[in-house]
Amino acid sequence: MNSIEIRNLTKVYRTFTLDNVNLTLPKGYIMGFIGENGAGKTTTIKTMLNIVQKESGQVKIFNQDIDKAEIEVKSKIGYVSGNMFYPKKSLKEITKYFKRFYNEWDEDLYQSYLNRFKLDSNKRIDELSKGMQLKYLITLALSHHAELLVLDEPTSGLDPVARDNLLELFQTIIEHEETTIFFSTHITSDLEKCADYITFIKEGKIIESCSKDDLLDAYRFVSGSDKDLEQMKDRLISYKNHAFGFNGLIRTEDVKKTDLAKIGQPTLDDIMIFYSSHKGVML
Amino acid sequence: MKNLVYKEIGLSTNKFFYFLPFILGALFFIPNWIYLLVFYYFFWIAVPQIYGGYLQHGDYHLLSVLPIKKKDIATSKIFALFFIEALHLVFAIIFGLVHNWIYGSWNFFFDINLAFFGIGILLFGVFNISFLPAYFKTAHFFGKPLIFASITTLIYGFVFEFGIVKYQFMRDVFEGPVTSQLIVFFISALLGVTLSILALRISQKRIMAIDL
Repeated sequence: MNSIEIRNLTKVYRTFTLDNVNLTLPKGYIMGFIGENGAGKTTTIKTMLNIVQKESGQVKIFNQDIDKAEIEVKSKIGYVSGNMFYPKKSLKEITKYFKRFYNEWDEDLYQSYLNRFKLDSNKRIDELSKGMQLKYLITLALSHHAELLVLDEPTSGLDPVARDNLLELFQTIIEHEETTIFFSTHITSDLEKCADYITFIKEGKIIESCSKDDLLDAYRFVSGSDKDLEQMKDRLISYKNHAFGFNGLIRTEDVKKTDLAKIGQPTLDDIMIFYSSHKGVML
Repeated sequence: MKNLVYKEIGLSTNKFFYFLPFILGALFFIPNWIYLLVFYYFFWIAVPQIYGGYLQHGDYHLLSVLPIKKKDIATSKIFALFFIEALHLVFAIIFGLVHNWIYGSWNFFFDINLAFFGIGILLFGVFNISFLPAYFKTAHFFGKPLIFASITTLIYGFVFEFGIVKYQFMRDVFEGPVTSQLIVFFISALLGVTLSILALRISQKRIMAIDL
């Protein structure tokens, strides 16, 4: 079963268009949603969850159309937007109101996550660090047995240790709960650690949406001299000149046996960076 | 919906605004005064604080996380406002009765009587129809809607307070026999409730068209 199925999702703003977004995420996996700032990650998530009005398209969560069963579908989702709320209220007070919205709320599970994350429910939100705030939001999401966690840039603003802990937590959740995780980020190294699937968005359009291994296999990082560049310039997605020659990105299928440039495995960062640049010019 | 209204009343609205009707009610102890002004203090003190609080506390961030319908966001906020308006009316009635018991019912401006409370209910209706649909065009910015609602309610209040002082026929209608006051009460209360329901319906539609 698919946890998320998005077909032709479109949202038009005056200066930006989310253009026919399609993606599918099978149940029980982690999908990383990558793209530079302003690429449309948050818009996709908000449109997918009906927080903003879509122009057209269909969103199915657990095979249910979100437009037809919005409350039922959203009850199964734990959405962590990264925007904190009620900073002067205690965790205890916010939870008191929050849990009333979920029939599946599990108080024992909630308490166990509070203990696990060393969260003091008497503390105010603004007394917590950003990492602890995030853990509280994840606690809220998991305590109603969310089957799908949607996290919008959860790792941005966290130090490397907190980020690593969070990514480990994601993997633990996937192993122990029947949960699917969809999270957006521009820190691609996070995804190399834990994502099964990657969706790459650029200027409102989905460039790739496939398994991480397929994505990495689909591209090659090339480096060579100016002479090598002339030989393969037309086939490169983009390249960057430097003092000794060039670096670039090419589709694996476009690599020829006669190419003399050094060809290697790209990182997700390489794919994102070279897609964001024009040939010969890094933007 | 019940949970949303509970959240609006318990979490989103400061407890002070449930105490404010009591404090403002005490203004009825001022002898010979423009008593409709008591309701305006609610518009000018409580409303900007409550609606500014939604932004300040990131209320819409919390709402975006919850399993709710967008239409219900407007409904719950408006129900919470109606609840506080009802509290203001209840305390106004209580303190108004005490005023009349202490000072008698005669007032240079609008007397505190049945017609006064009917006009008070309609005042809330005029405020609701002026403020709420304008606010839910954005569900964020409350400044211009509040200025607009303040102007319309001030014109509305001026008509009655000035008219009663200036024109005998208005005094006869609004401060005349109990039957006359009763008619004014029922007509204006009905109009006030109708305007408030209309404000609710328009706001529900408007919030659907915006991105939170």
